[in-house]
Amino acid sequence: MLEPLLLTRIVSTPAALDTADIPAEVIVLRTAPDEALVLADSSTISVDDPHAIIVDDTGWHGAWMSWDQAIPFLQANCAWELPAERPSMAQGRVADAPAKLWLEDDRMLIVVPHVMARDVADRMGS
Amino acid sequence: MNEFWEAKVTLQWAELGSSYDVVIIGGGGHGLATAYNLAVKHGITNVAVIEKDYIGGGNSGRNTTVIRSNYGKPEPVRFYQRSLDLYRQLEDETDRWIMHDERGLLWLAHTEAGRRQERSRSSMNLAFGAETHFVEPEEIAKLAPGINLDAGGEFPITGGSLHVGGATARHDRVNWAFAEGAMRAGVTIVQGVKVEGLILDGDRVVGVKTNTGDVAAGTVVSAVGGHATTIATMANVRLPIRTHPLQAFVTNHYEQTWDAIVASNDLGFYISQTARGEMLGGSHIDPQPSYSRRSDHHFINEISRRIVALFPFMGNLRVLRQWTGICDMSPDYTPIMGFTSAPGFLITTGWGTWGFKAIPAGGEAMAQLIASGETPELIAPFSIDRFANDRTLADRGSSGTH
Amino acid sequence: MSFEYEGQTIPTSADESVLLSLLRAGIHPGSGGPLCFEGDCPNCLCTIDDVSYVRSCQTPAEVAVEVSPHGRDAPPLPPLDAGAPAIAVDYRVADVVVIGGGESGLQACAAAEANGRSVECFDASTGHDVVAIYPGPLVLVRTHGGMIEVECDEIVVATGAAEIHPVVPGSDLEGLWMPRAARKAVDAGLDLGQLVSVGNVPDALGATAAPGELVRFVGDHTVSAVITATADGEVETPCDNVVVGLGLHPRTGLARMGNGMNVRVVGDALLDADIPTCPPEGIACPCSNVTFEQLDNLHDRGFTHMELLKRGSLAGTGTCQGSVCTPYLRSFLQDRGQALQAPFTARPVARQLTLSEMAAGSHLPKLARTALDDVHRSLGARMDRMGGWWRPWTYGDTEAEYTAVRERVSLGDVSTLGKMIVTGPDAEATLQRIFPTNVSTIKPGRSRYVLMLDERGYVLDDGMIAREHDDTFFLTFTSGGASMSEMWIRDWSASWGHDIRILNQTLSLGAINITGPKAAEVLARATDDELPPFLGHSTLTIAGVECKVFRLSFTGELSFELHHPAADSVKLWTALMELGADHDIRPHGIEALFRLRLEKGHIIIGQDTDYDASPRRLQHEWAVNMNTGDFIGRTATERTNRIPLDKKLVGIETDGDTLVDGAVMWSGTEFAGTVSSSMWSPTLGKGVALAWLETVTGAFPETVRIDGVEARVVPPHFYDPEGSRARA
Repeated sequence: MLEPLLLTRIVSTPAALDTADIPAEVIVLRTAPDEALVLADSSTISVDDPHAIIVDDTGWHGAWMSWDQAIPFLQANCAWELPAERPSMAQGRVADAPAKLWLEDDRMLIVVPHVMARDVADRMGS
Repeated sequence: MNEFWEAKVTLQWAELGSSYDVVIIGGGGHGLATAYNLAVKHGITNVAVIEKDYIGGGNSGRNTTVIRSNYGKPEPVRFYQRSLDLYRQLEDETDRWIMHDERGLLWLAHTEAGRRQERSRSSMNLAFGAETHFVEPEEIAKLAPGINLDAGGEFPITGGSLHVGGATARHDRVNWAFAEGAMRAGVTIVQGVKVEGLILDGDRVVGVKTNTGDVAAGTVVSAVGGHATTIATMANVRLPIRTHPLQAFVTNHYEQTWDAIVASNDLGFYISQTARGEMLGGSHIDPQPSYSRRSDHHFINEISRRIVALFPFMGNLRVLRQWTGICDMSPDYTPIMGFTSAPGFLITTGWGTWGFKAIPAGGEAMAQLIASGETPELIAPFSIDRFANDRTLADRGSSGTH
Repeated sequence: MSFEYEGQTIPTSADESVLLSLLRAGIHPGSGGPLCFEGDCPNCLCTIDDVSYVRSCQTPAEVAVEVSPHGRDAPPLPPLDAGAPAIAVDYRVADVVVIGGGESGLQACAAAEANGRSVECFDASTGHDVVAIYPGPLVLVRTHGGMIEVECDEIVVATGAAEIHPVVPGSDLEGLWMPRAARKAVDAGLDLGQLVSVGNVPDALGATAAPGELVRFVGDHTVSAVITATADGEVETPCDNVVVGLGLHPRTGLARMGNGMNVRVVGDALLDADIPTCPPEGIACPCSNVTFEQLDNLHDRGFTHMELLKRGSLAGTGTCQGSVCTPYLRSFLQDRGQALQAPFTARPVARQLTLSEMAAGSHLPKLARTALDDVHRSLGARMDRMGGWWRPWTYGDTEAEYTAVRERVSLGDVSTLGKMIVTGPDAEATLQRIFPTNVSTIKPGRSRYVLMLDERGYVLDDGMIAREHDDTFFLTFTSGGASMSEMWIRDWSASWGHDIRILNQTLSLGAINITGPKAAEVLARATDDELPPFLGHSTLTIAGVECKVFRLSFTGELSFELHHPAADSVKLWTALMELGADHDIRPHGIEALFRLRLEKGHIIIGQDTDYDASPRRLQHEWAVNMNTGDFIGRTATERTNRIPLDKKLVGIETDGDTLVDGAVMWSGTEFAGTVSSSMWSPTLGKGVALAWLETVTGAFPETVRIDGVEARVVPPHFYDPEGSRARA
């Protein structure tokens, strides 16, 4: 289920990140005020910060899950409350790995560092 | 009638007077052992121990009772070995049953680096009087019945060291044995009296202020655990100490048939079965400094997993109780003992997670220091000056968890 | 439906407890004592399916397979070969958790729900034992199907009050009942025969009331009469069973455990505790078997504080956690002239659960795996835990791995190195203060080995600093030091108010070290680009993979570190292995790497250093530039440099023997330090080691004795001290 993702990591001033030029349909995981994981190629992204770091990154694996799959997985592997808003991003410990979650109305994306991917996959039962 | 009740000790309480040669703040193991040694070994009996709650109610009554001397540097090996030797004779000396049980401590390695470290530990220990031998996994399987050498594939055991002198004793009984001996020799011990300040004459500390009145003292000793920095600040002494919680748990009691004391630094736990048959376990200090004694779920949730991975049979033991102590951690994981920049004010602190094992030697050395006015060689390396003099005793790998 | 008990098959029905099934079969499973049916006492404990100390009154008969009696004695440990059951956890979130499904609990549920709040309600009678309240607040619930953890905002404790147990002589006989238990037993159709009541017992039970105050029970194993005291003296009332009503003691344990959190107590749990009469004799604490005689004895010997009394007697330290004895300990001390004491501190857990249950939801700490993890394992590597990663310790022939590096060419997986981009207007200023080196003299395309010091001037970590552009740097750190180093730089730059950007790429980039005299030749086959000079770096395409190539050396041989996207690690590794096949290229593990670097005298942070390793002690003062500006550790370094040196990291040589890591060194009879890392050098034909040498009577010895072997103290650079091979 967990597949390698190609995404872009951005580090810039928070203000520049707030106004970054990223295609509308692209998922942006805002992991910190000055950092984001963007599910798109870096060539599609620009940020108004001459010192911004914008790099392609293959260090993450991810999986989409329907809520039918996600709910039992989270009940057994996630001890904290998800935000109610959709779509939204959440991050924290899931299945003992540092995970980013992207929550949509009918599905959820889990993103973990590739170095933990095998162990998370084991816990996902895949 | 259970056989583990304290059937002998008599505690003779007295009222707190207004002046003593020595006032010891803190009625834990170190304070009581210092008073005991002053009175019994040096004839200095005009001594008061002031305890804010009840004797042995702090870390001295919350620790996990392991006695060991398997350190990685000559100075601590010598000191803790002295303590280990004093523990061996404490029952004879005091005629009190402290449930001393010398059964060997097994310290596990799960990596190549850990294997190397346990070999180093054995060399250092043997050179300075502590008996510790490197052991291979096959021998560990015999020494720790029920162990899973593979530990779920994640923490394979690569070797370990067997510290032959490793022992346990009942913490309360050690405190009481010293308290009783001190009281009998004329020391005043009071409970429920709180030190609220120190009386200063210039830099010199000349007494303590308590909630029941002022007490003059020739010498004031802080043998406080958990709030050592608070007391030292009253003497304008700044201690390089941070206080962290340390959690432990105990199971119901079972037939006493498991004779090992096992510690794993990598897995962050240690466990032994008490004389009464409870399985007693603890972990590393909590990472955040705090004075809180509240137990949390994260600790027991994690430590249970780790214990069960190493000893699957323990999965069916029932947890009875968790508790928390607060530990004074020094930067080099080594105690701080002796004189301070404030004349008349002595400290014995930085007992971190290793204070129980040091009680007899700590009390002996502090009493020698007070009686002679000179720092005994055994504790000279533990002087607070070492931080300014670039002579710290970095030995984190030996601080372990207990 | 049935379960086994001591060789008997006990029939059960779906809705009843193990205890009730046993009682129907005429069996009292404990070792006597009044039954409460509410989990408050230790009198019905059983071993059920290998778990001892199970309250049979709280366990549904349908989950039990094998039940055995418990008695007062300690049960045996589980069999040593027993496995640990896997227990599931159900994580929940609620606004309010209500503990107790009685009248007041249900009212609290209804009130909260009416306010639109989400509620979880747990009641022990439906198999939901709330075992603890933790900071969070977090409520931990044990069920027969697994654990439930609820994060909540508010907790309502509606646990009611327990009935006070009799502790008079004979309290350990069978046939004694608390009023609620007797009610349930009668309702369940048990025949209690001639039932006698003592104290305050509801009339509806139809028991014959014995007059006066309870004195003792008599009988052989089972109660046959109850003795009471009246104004006219003692009265003996014959009976088959006795029901005893001595008042209520609120169950406040969970409320006290949650002290300081948002916990509200409702219903009978709020009651003032009845303080029972303290009997002159009897067993005050049935769990630990403590008599009043023992309590008196201790009290007379100065154990007057309630905690000392508890610790001296062990009363209150057993299964029921003082539920039975606390009222009596309070009553005892009051009776002996003391003010009424507060109950003991309440600590988790209120009701026992197994370590397996406690572990539900947690995992063993998992190590990171590089993108080459499968490759190492398929090559037969023995993996070792190191710095938070699984790393190949050896591929099976460490000598051959060592020789491949020294004589031909070899690959090493160094993906675990900490890797970080630092850029921005103040990047140079930040790094200038972080590292004790003159960063301004590192030109774009160049790199330098650096130490990172703490405020005390001790080495925290080491690594490389490479300048990419004017204001962009790429840093590497040790495998175990990456996270700490990132935080170190972030915290300091923030406190200095510097304008920089930091990206930790440790997990995003793989890194392969190609090392050995043939490294450049093999690498040239994989790229059309020019390789960087020693301590230079550039971005090249190697075997179709874009790499940041750093030329530096840890092994002492010509080496290139290839940092690349993690997804390309396998592709790059495979290509290099193929291109080096004619040179018999082979990977080297950590064991070989440690030997190679030892011959060069390169230190490993953590192995060769402890927390007091200053550059001076490490003989690394060449890596500290005191002519640059301020840096972290500068003040401490200036100060400690004025103190005589007490120990230093040196080289040690022996002619014929290999030393043991950690061996103690002697100069005459004086301690002279310890061996840090050692090996037999096949290249040099002698034993070599790094060691911490201490001064002996004020001077560093020139020779030492180690395990009976004479050894020479030498500079810590054994192999190619001029570095000509790495620069080749």
